[in-house]
Amino acid sequence: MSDPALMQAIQEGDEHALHQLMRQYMPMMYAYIWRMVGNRADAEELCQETFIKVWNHAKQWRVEKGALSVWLHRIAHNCCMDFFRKNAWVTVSLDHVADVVMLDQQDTLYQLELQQHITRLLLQLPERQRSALLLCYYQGLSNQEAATVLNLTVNALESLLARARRTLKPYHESSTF
Amino acid sequence: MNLQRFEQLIAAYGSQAHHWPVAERQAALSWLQQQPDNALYCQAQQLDMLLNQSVAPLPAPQLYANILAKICPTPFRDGYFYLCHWLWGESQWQHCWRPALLLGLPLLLGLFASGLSTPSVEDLLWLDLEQSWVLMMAGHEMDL
Repeated sequence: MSDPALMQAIQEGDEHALHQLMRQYMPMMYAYIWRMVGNRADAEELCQETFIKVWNHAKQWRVEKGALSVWLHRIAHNCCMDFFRKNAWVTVSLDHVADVVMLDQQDTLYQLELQQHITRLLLQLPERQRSALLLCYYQGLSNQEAATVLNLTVNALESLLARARRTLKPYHESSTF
Repeated sequence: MNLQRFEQLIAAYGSQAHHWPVAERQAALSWLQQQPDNALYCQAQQLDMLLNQSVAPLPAPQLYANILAKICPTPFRDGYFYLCHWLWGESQWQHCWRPALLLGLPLLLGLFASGLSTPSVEDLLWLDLEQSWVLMMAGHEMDL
């Protein structure tokens, strides 16, 4: 089923269409949210919130507004930003994050340490820089689509991306990976 | 494409051509062929090699079920909410008598059930004998 047909069915209250949408987009959205928050529990909660919003506000989506993935990313991004605003006072323990990553990956010790290192590296970034990098680098969105998600111009997005990569550079250079 | 724009692209999107904007990709690739040892490009390559190795976990299968359960109320949940709504009622009078009925119902059932099994004369006689025996034993213990 195409994206517009899927959304049409969801707008009419078809639960099976929602299930199909989740099968299609959940891994992608979950990956984005997981890299944003750095742990499984919050990622699951935010992913749940995202798809509940999709169901409740399905009628707001229009084909002419752009690709469905952009709309989904925008909802997920807003959920993440609300989460960061609400939990601004919470100190994220990077050791805890590392543990979670180790539990998620069943691979060699080197691989586990590598995943832990990358997660820590991404969590060093301010939220908007992290989001810009994730959208362009991992989520496969074009610069125009990523700018739409973040409500920025393409020039502002490029500036954000360049700042993100500049921030990562010293952390990466000082590491053994 | 010029050096400044090429370096802007590398600084923002990294060293991998598939991340570059489609409109500028071909021009940037041509530029790169002319200057393959651009310092900024080589630095970006190192960071990209690391970022490429990130693996995100898949969502737990239970997550799909949780979302569907939250979105689509089950018939059981519908029935539960209907029962709660009925019991609480809508007017003040209903707020009183309906919960009272719920609380009084087990009492009424208990009374009804006890009325069905009225003790016979023999049962009462046995009860009297048991009671007097217990009282006698208690008195005997006190004497001791």
